[in-house]
Amino acid sequence: MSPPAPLLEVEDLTKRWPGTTAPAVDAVSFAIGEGERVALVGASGSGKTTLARLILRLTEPDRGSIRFAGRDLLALRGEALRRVRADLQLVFQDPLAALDPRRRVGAQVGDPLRAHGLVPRAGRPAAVAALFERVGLDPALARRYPHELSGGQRQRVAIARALACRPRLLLLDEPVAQLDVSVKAQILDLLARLRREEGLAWLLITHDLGVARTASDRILVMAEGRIVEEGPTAAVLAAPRAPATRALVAAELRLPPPPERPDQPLTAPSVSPRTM
Amino acid sequence: MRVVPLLELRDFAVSLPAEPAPVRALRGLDLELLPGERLALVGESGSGKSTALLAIAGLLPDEAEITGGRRFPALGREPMPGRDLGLVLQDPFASLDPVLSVGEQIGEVLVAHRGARWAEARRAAVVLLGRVGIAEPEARVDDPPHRFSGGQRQRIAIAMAIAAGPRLLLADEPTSALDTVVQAQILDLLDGLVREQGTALLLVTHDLAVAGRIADRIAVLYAGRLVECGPAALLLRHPRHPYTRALLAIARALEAGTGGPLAAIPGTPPEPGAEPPGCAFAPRCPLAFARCAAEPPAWRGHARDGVACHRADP
Amino acid sequence: MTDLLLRFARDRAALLAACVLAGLALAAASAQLLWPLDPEGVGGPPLLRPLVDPAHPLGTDRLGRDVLARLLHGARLSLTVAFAAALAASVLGSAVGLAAGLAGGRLDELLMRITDAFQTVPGFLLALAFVSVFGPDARSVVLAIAASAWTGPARLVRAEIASLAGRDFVLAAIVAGLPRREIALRVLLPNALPPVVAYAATSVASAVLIESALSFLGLADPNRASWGAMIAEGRAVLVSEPWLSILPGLALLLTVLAVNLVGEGLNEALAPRRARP
Repeated sequence: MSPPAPLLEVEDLTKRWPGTTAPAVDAVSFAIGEGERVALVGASGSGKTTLARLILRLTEPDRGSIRFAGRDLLALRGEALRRVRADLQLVFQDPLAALDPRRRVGAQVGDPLRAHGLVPRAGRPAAVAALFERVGLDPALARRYPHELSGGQRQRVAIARALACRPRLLLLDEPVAQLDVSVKAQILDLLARLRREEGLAWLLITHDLGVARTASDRILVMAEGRIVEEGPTAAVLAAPRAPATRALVAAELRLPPPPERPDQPLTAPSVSPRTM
Repeated sequence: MRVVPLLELRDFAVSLPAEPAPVRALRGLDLELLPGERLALVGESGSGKSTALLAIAGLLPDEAEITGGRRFPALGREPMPGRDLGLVLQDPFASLDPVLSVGEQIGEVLVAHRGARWAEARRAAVVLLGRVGIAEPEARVDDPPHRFSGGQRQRIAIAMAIAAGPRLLLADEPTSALDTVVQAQILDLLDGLVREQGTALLLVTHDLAVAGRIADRIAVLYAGRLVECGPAALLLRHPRHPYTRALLAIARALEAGTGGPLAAIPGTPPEPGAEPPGCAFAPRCPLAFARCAAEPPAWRGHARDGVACHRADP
Repeated sequence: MTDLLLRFARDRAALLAACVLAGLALAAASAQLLWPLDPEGVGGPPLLRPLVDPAHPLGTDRLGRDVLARLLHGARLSLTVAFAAALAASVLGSAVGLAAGLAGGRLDELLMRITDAFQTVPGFLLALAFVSVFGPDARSVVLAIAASAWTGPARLVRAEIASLAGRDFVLAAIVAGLPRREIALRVLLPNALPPVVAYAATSVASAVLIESALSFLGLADPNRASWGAMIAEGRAVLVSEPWLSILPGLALLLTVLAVNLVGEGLNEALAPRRARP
């Protein structure tokens, strides 16, 4: 069976920031298929965020090509580029920085709906409320400002905004790095559920290998602007070959394994006149 | 002979100023730290762990209301930050003065607390920079902080914290802002330094794996109270409190990445000031029964190893 | 908006100052009703001391004109000119700063050099030149003051826009598909304006002073009462009848103080909010 037609195809992408000598992204090539979950891992400074910005056309490459849904993404300008953004979205690392501090979060979630004319004005409040509910937030929170929400709530808002236009490909830049463990779990579960419902593909940038294992099927390892290893996530992380991958795996802090025989479940204390 | 503890907290509570009313960030903490011991204070946002650290260091705003006992028996006096206590904070980009060179900042500690003169302080700063792993310290001692990466800045912050040879090093999420490779290096560094100098370490973190890596003992906080405490290796393998168990289950599932939902704990922690009567975790606890909602669980065990849960045997 | 007002209200000094300003504005607007004496008419004996005659509670000036009436009518002129000038300067300056900050490159360079040129000329001299050319009526005084005051807001807005342009939430707006014009007006501008609003308060204060100086020099409309003119006229009898200069001077002081306090309060209230850790 032939592989699914790639949703995103990146070829020989290169970018050097002015004032630096080494390229931040160096001849990177890879593809992501419809509905695929791909993780991009690497130490900080390896070029992951620059790559994300390039794919989103937030900055221009020096060389290379990007094809999205069969179209040459780099050839798009102005209005055409703006329109394609409905299909290609980004969830930022720091949800507080990614939300306008002076506008209520509901309005910001409604921005893509408004910008792409998907919902008439009258229907927008209901559409925004529905989006809030899909990400597990009380629609009443739409009236709040970003600083009035917790980190987990802000990230849910950012996800709601990213999904407003039902994109085909979602880029996530360290989406759970700043969150507590239990909130990380909730957000990853949410993303998994939404992906099942929407048929999303994603490129998840992370330095946390556990997150990569949990939320991706394929992994790309980046070091010094290049992709140094690529393959099924579990296999690559279990038996890393490239030095950069090995360094990442070696540096991972793992919890001690649980006991072979699970602890007795906690039982009700014995009922005695003293403990009642 | 019983060792005199370095730090002792008894029914320690802190209220922080806020609008419209002050919030109780810590509600009665009992904690003990022996000289040279490494304790990790683990909790999620809002658990009070950072407040505890700041309160121990004496760095809370004047309007904060503190009750309960905070003593340093082995010191015999109120500790002086910089001299008896070293502090390493989370954000490596905010903790260093951008105007002064790193040598000056490390040197300041020595001049202020060890009565050193500037020339010898600068020499000592070079040595310290080397000790914390900055390459070519002689060449870099006069560089300003912005010439260093995040990981390097954190190393410099550690150098400043240990410069005067403090008995206790307080660290608040020192590696949360760093990537995993650098995190491992910084934790190795901390581990080596405190062992070498016999410094006690109180490390605040939300990451159980970090706690497991560097601590002798782990104390788990939830909603401003201690819910469990014990030797690190034992606690991570045999957690007794339902919250600790749930956190570990999530952390392990996340690490392993084996499919299926991550058994996330339903609901969210209570807002400070809005804790339910009885056990604060009860609304989210799979094992809660009638008594949990009515009566806060008493601490079972002793100050260094115990759990606060109606269901647990100590 | 309401929480902005609430935050502003927490600063007691600013709140008091705002009330004072509101009171002044109200008094100025209803001058005729409050104290129905003609500020230009000879209503009583000249150089009457304050608190002597209840018909002229603050006395009269050299020509026998009632001081209180002149203060109230003068307030109208001074405050109107000052606020109009500050508004004009803020609008013009923000527009220039926005254009420069968004465009970058050559246009930015050009606009900034023009700003530099205007900034090097001392504001008062520029105002003097303007008034000499265009005549001493209120409108040209407003334009004269705005002509030099716009450079402050222009620089502020441009600097804010430059620093905001790379921020995540601006990139997020681009990714959300918002058209450029909307990003400029709805995302960038509201975040760039707070320092301008706070600065506007300083503009008002200095506008009041420039206007007073102009009328002190006799370069404002001679037929209308203004505080500066009153101070000027009182100069001749400063030793024997000091109140003729002191009273308008105090009014000036009060206004400028109030405006500054309100400006500080606004700055505080508009400051970006701190988030929970």
